[in-house]
Amino acid sequence: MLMRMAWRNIWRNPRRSLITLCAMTFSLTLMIVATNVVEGMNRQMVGYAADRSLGHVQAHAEGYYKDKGLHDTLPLSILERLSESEFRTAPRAYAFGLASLGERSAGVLIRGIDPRREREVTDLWKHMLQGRYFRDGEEKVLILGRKIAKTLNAQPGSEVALITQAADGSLGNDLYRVVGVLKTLDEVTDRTTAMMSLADFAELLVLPGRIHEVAVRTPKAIDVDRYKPRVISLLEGTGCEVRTWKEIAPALKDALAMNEAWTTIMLVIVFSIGSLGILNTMLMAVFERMYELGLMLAVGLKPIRLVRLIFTETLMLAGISEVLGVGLGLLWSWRLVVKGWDLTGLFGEGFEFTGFAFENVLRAAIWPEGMLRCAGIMLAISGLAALYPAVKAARLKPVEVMRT
Amino acid sequence: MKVEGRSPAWSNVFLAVLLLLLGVGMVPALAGEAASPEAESEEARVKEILNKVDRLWRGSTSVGQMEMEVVTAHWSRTLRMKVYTEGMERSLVRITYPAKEEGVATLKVDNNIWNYLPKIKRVTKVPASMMLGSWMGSHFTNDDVVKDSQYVRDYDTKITFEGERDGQGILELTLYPKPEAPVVWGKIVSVIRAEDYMPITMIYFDEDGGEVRVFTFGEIKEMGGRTIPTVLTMRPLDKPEEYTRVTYLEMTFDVDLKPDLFSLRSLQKTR
Repeated sequence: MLMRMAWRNIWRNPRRSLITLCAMTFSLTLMIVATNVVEGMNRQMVGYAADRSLGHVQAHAEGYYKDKGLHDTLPLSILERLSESEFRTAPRAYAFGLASLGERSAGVLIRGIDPRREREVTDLWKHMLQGRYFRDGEEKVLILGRKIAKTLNAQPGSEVALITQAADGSLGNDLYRVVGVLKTLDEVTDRTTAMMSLADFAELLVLPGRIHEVAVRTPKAIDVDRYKPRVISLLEGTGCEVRTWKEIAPALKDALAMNEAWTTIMLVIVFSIGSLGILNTMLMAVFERMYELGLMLAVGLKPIRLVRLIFTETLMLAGISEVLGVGLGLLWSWRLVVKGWDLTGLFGEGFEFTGFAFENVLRAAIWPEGMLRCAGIMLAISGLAALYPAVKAARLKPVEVMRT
Repeated sequence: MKVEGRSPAWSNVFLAVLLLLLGVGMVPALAGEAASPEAESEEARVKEILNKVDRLWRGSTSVGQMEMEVVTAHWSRTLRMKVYTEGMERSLVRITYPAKEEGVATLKVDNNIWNYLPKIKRVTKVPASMMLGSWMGSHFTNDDVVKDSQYVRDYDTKITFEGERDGQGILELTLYPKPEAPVVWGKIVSVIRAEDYMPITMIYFDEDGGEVRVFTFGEIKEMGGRTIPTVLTMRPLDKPEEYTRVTYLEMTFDVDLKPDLFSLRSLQKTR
């Protein structure tokens, strides 16, 4: 009975109801898409940082993380400590150097990695812009970061000279053939990376059997805090310092928090505007029907039922918007998941946001919780918007409104 | 700014040139011309001192052999090198020992530094970003090398002490960077012997007024017809056990050098 009355009341002014419906549907759709796009960005950031280059957990010799001292090394054999665990590990070593090609030269961070093991820990190998990743047993080859390659004007096939101060004080220098250039990772990596095999690194730096970093891949990057104690206990007694990607890239953690705050603010603003529409519609609906509502009260309808009627009308409108909005939002998001959002026209090749580099095609990610939150907030705000008209209706004095 | 760049940029042997300038240059130029007691204005005196150095070195040449001992917490090593200079603006350094680095050479012309590496047969120009890097792990930076000819341009020099210290008559000059000068140091305090302007120490301060490193001149001897300090030691104060010591083994002045000696082509000749 209540439902039928409410339904009829909505369609007594179809134009107004439709406009409100559209406004609500549209805000919900937008918010769902925005939520999913931001989620996509977040996953891309975590993906970049943890899965693509950092590794989920890193272990260093005491003091290395802070001072980056060439001599603060770990023995390569430390990897055996983790070999029986659920973790996968890769050794890494770093040194500053000078890269030069023709007339151009620039400072670089020489990164020694084990090409095979690194593949098990990060997705760096998939992330090639030009050329290819290392092959097994290859010697004297180099992979460059995107910007350093540009600075040196190097492409696959170029022969780059690297000069550095080796661990014994001598002048390490040699020629390396570039086999690949990495896609955008982050500003520093793009600008400084010159990556080679650990074997070449040990030779250039006169640092055989020593590494600076153990990168560890846990089953899940987001839950890394759960795995950290286990890594620490496995490395017990080695004097290693252990850090998760959240600690290594606090900027990333902050960026995630900022994205979250930003989305919430947007959510509130968009829905507040949407709720004004509802408020307006329902208020109009009450004022238009003063006589009728007064009559209902006069013949003995309890004010509380009137309140329920108004609420039912509002929630019906909201419900329809929810269904439409979630449906449209999902469709649109899905499109952005599959095709991505090409920002090349806006930003050129890749862009930065909150200090993180993104690819030029932004991909959304469906985030059910986030969508549920959007739908929930809209429902709550609609309810709030209905409150005032409902109370207004319940407080009508039949005598007064029916006098006219 | 940090002095101790870990980066490997290198060519610091040029510092040798700086040493030559400060250590060798000042002394013969001023020897026997001790400051007159009735000092003119301080400014004029400073100018006079600097001018004498400048006049002597313009167009003057030298060829020398030196040894550089570098001691760090992790390793120590000794290099031998041959050094050619022409005025303050040009110099060429070739390493002759040890075998691994033999033939490695560095050319400085004005503010530019190039290195030649025989192993890979490449000449590399030291980029601006590497100017604070050290050469061969020594405690000298590339910046030390190129800046040597620019003390007058970049610093205002004042006489901050004059008199006896440790039983020796000395003059203390303090170099304050000019407001717009692109320099690393907050100030440099240079102590010279009053009688002949022979340098004793140079202390480098950072922008917060902390002492960063001390450069000491010792073993004053006659070499190549001039009296010069022959052992020069640079000590970083944050690593007390470390130092770089340059010892002149042999020096000749006013030599006829081939006109194209200070060129990229000659840089690549290993002999």
